[in-house]
This record gives sequence, C-alpha cells and structure tokens, in this order.
Amino acid sequence: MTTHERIRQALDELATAPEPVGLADRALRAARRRRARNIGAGIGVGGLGLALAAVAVVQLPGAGTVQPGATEPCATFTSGSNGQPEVPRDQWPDFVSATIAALPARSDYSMQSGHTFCFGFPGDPVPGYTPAPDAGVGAAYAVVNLGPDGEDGRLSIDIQIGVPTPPVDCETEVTEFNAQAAENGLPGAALLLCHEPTPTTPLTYVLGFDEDTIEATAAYDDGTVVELYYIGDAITAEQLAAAAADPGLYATIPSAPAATAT
Amino acid sequence: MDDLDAVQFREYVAARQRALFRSALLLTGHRQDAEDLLQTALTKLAQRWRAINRSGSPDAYLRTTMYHQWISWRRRHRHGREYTVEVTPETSASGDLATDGALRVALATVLSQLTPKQRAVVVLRYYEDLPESEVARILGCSVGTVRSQAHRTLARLRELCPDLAPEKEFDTP
Repeated sequence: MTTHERIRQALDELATAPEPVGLADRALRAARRRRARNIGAGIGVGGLGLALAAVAVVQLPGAGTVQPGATEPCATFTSGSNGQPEVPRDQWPDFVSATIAALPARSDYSMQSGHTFCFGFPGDPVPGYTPAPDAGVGAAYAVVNLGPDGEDGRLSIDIQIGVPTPPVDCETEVTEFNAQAAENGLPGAALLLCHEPTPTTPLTYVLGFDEDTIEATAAYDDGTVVELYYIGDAITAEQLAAAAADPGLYATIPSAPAATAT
Repeated sequence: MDDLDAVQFREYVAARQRALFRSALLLTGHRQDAEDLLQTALTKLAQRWRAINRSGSPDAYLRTTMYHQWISWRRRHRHGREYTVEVTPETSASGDLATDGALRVALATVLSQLTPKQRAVVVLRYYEDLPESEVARILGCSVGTVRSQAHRTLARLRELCPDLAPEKEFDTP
C-alpha cells in the first residue's frame, strides 16, 4: 500500500459517521420556496408549503429528534432521527428561545439542530475527535431556519463562554478578520455597525460578508461571546446586533467553570 | 425545477451524499457542522440544479460551495470554538478499522493544526483524490500553492509518523 493510499484510508476511517437523512428533500423544498418568493409568486405558496410539510412527515420517517435529556447540560438536537424535521418549539433550549424573542417577531422560526452548553467537544462526538482540553471554555450552538426550510434565511447562534481572548474593539476585530480572510484567499468583511462597550452594555459589532450574509457579535467582560450569523435578507444588521446584546439572552448563559471539563 | 429535475436531483444526492458528508466531516471535524454545511450547499445546488446538471459538474459546484461556506463558518468560530482532534482508544480498537492507529493519530493531530486552506488541500487531494489542478481551481489558488501545502502537510505527518517513507507516487495524480 502506497503512502497516498494509507493516508486516504486513514482519512476515510476518521470520517466514519452515520449519514444524515432527508438532505435532498429539504434542499428541494427550500429551493422551491425561495424561488417562489423571489419571483413574487406569493399566491399559493402557503398551500404548497403545507402540502410539502405534510409530504415531509411521510417521506422523512427518521428525520428530526430531540435526544433524551434535552434540558440537561450539553444536550444535542439533531435533525434526522425521530420522525420530525425540526425541534419542537416547546423543547428549544433557553438560549434559543431568548434569541428568537429578541429578533423580529414571526411565527415560522424553525430550529433545525444544535446543542446546549458543552465544555470541550459538544455532545455529538465524531470518531477520532475528542474534547478540547481548554479549561472552562464552553459553547452552545443552534441552527434556526426562517421558515420551515429556511426560505427566509438561516440563523446560526453560537455562544462561547470562558473565552480567554474575547474581542476588545471593533477596529481590531475587523482588521484581524480581514487578515485571516486574506490568508485564505477570500474576500474580507465590512464593518456595518459598531457599539463600543459601556459599563452596562457589551462591545457589539456587525460584520457584512457579502450581500446577504451578516454576523453580529456581542462580547462581554467575563469572556462570554455571542455570535449570531445570518444568511438572508429578512433581518437587518441593527436587529441582529440588538438580539446579540439582548440582556434576556445573556441571562440564559451560564458562567464558565474554573476547572477543566470535557 | 420540474418533476424530472427533482428526480434527477434526488438521485444525485442519493448517490453522492455519503461521500460528500464524509468530506464535510473531515473539513469541519464536527458532525452537526458537517450536516449544516452540506445542507446549505445542497440548497444552493438545488436552486441552480438544471443549469449545473447540464454543465455536468455538480460535484465541482458543491465542493467549491462547501469550501467557501466552511471558511465563512470557521471565521465566526475564531474566538474559541476550536476542537482538538485525536484518536480515542475506542476508535483505535474498533474492529472494522484497517489502518494503523499511529497514522490516524498523526492525521488527526495534523488536521487540528492546519489552516482552513491546508485542511481543504488534505481533504480534496488525499481523500477525494482530485488532481492538483482541480484542487487549485476550487480553492482559488495556484497549483504551486496546492503542491507546497501538500508537501508541508506530508512533512508534518512524517514527523509524527516516521514510518511514512517518502514515495514519489504520493504527489502524482
């Protein structure tokens, strides 16, 4: 066996994990609805959506799950496991509910996946990957669609606690970000909004990556960093920033432990 | 997209999703991120399916989309959501694994130390077996850059796993 073959086989074994289900159907529904919206064909889209949602329940018997212990620390929510394409709203983690409450009101926010606060590697380990040993650094994460299949965009909620080097000011952040982008041969970001910290509010800023992708960050003195990353055109930079720095959201975030935990 | 397009799209995803998901998993190192990454890329592909399918290169479109999307996601994790990778004893002891544990440990360690572009080079070049020219096109860099990134990665692997003897065929498509 050549070196190339040995490396390829080792990579293949590192990548061993169960495949998600329903990828094609979810992609088709999202694409159809986005197209319908984009051409202004509003009439009938709701009915189509209901019909497709009904089809989804039939076609995706293994889709969507909330794993046992969803309210316990480091619970994982993964689509594709128990017959539902999304996480039921009454089972959303507090940080997700608080984030959505701080965003523009609409009835069709749909949580697709995520995990509650984990220290080290989140609760869905990949063979070959183990928790980071960083003491006290934890994270929670969720993907929320606007519309059942994300026809109005896709929001990622990423909260880190115990961050040793949190952002300090807007200018430094955008400069560092663009340096990293340049290193990877990619376009930089534009600073769309900046609120420097006050004694009662966090550093808050929004970066724009392209015409429909923005990221709001709120960084607190205690090492808590809230990042809301949105692809779509239904939430403005100001709205996303307000949600990231929302006191109600911050109140749902636990303190970082002092000791190492995995 | 008409019914025939939808059927073709489903057939394409059914045939390719296993390989694509594994590539996404190697890029991200995290199952949820891999699923989200692939789902986002497939949605974009579905929106342009007819034209891209006619062009005969949906794989190339998906790889490029996944790479750029992943880079974007990586940037937002720059403040702390990083993972250290290593092979667990359970993984090493698994009966269906064929390679030696030392190499998997070395690979996992090296992957965790790479920049996003270097990691993409490893996945595209050595896992997907793409020629250097195709890797360069996807990553938007020169063939020379791909080659140098691959050499550096291999050198680091050999440091960690000395029995990987130099072989010329490693760098040929």
